[in-house]
Amino acid sequence: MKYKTLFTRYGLILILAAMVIIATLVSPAFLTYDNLMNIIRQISMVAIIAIGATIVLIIGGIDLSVGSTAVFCSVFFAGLVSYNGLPIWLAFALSLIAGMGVGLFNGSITVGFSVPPFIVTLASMNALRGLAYIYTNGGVPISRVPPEFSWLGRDYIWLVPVPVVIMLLLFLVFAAFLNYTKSGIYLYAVGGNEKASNLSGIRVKWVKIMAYVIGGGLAAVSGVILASRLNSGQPAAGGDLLFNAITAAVLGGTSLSGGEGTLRGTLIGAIIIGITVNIMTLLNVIFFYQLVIQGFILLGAVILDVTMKKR
Amino acid sequence: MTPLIEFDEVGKHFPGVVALDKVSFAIGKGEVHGLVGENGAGKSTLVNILAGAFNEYHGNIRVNGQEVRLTSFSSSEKLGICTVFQEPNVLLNLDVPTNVFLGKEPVLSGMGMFVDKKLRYRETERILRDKIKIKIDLKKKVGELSISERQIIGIVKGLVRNADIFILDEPTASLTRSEISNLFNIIRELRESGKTTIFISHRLNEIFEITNRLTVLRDGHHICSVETRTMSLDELISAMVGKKIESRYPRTEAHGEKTLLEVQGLSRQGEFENVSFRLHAGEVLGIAGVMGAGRTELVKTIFGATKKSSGKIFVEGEEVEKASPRQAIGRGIGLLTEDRRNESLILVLDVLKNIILAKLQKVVKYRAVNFSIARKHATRFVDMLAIKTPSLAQKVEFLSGGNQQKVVFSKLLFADSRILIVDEPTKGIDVGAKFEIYKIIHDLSTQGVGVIIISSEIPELIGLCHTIVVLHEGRMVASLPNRDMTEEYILSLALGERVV
Repeated sequence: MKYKTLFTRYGLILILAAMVIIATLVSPAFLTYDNLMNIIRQISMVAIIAIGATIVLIIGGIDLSVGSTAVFCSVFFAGLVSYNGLPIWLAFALSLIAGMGVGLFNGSITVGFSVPPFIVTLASMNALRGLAYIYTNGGVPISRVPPEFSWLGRDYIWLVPVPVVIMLLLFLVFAAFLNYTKSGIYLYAVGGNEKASNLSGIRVKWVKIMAYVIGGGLAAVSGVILASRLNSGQPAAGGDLLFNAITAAVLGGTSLSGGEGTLRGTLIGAIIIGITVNIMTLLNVIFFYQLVIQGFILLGAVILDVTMKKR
Repeated sequence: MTPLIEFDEVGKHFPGVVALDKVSFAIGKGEVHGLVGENGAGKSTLVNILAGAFNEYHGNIRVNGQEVRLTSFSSSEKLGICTVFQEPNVLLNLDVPTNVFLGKEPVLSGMGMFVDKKLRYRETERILRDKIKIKIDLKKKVGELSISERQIIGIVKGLVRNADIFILDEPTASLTRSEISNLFNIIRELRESGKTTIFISHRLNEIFEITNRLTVLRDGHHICSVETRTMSLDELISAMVGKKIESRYPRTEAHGEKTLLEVQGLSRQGEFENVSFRLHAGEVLGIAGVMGAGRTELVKTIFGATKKSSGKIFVEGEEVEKASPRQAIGRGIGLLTEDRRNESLILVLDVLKNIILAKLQKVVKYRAVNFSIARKHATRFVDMLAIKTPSLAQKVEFLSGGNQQKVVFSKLLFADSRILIVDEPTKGIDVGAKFEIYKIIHDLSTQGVGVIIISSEIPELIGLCHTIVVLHEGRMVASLPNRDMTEEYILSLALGERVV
């Protein structure tokens, strides 16, 4: 029990510290301002999705469609600007609504028909990927965009990349939401015990739907940044988003059985993934090998979660 | 009597509870042996030990004079013990012969891998015809059969395995009259072929009808083992109930006049029917009844967790139209469920959050939960109810049963409950904490809270309640003011042995 609390409290930070030390020793290019900013910028899209993934895991659900939602919203965003000539802010708002709409769909089907979320979101994952290709006329990248299009993805506010600023803001906002609002506490309660939550007067179904809507909305934000960063809408991009978002949440200590998880943990989890990828790239590990290694990292994190539960 | 099974100081301890304490007695060969006792007396624990459900227990068991360790289901089966639980352990998606021969499949000669389905079918048919004398459609999936038929299949499973000892754990609880008489015929058949049966039932008339010896357990202790015919009903009830300990309960005082809750002709299909009572301010109202009487179902409906089929509920004179837990909490009703760990608490959350969960809006300021105010409230309850916890941030799963129960009480009090419904509040709690729970209930009632308490421990109800409502098989058989009430009287009403 003592080891467990010690580990959950500091273990992740220790792992992170160890990785930083190893990376510094392995490659002199690691500990430079540019490289570090690069890492954080790279993880920002995954990390934003991972906030939503964490929230859905907290209620005891899972959302496999977040990656596809992000990609769909990114081409939708680009299309609204390029095809329809909408101003960036309006396109952003509509993409956000689209993402939340996907979440509403996933949540309502899951709750309304008692279909396992794994199946519902697996279905919408596939469907959205298809929609992204249909919307782009079979996968033609949408690249005729105005110059201000790339601000969100490529610019800096003072010395910090814009996506990183957005990511940090969202982490703060949602950490406050989870810890200090009624809804936030209800999310944990529902994930911890649905029956007891219902008998405590909590509207369990609404809480669950809310989690998926938040997840979809955050995926949309991430998708918009993706489009902006690529300066185009590309339906083939973002294939690693889902995997990395779930891995970040699980690495960060979010329980797969619901009721437990913190955004602080998820953020550290995302940074650990970022550093892993960065080291492997600095060491010229071939991309395909990286996928194998990442797979085993997720597996290791889950095994750790399960064995910690047993104690 | 030739002893077949001998128990020698057999005991079983769970964290905080002694379920069975140094029990010694014997069951004779060829007997139908009744096992009798109130809920929590240790019958199920004893049955589970014989079935091999625990990997450890204290003391020794001898079968046919041989010392044995029953530490797994297979070790129990090998000794010829066949246990048929109330909800028998059968696979609902498979047909009858498959279930009967599961794990003992006959194979086609010379082709070791292939199951001889014909033999399996014929054997099952033969046993049902010759030994059980009952027709069951063998082609049906077991899930399509009645509970009674499933129990019979459990017995046939034992016969196929040449079992000598049949344990029937409350088999009659959900059977109809004719199904019960069928079952009794089967038990008689078993007896004639020299098999031994251990029969458990809450219905004492059944014990007298079918058993020839019986053993009484109480609070985990062995009380007596006697020939059934030497005992009268009253003697048996006294043995089950034991001596009363009244001084454990705080004195009840007269309750107020104001009606907090009124239930009129409340029914729910298949669970309970036509229940009516009034709960006044400061009143403690007990609901007595045996398992399956519909007590928990009744209070769940009052709380709005399940829908009524007819009848009316009034809270402080106002009729409740659309009942839901959310509404009930809003009207000041609090429910402490029997299944504390699965329905009342969120184990992965800390003490603080569990306490404030049902009425978060009380501590919300500017849309955010004000934790310093919440902590003040929670600290007050922790002090008031003497909850032993290292801190408010402790997850409730690490608290003892008694302290968990006090957290639930805090939760209900924090939600400003004026009507408190507590379902088996002292179940699985050690004696000291029980007394504290009694005191909490008593103190609340003196402050004008109306309390409905369900308990299987009748002395508890007599000690705490102003009024006791007795349910028997879903029907309200009595509503008694608590004057000169005896445990024997209430138990006999609850068992349907007597009417008012």
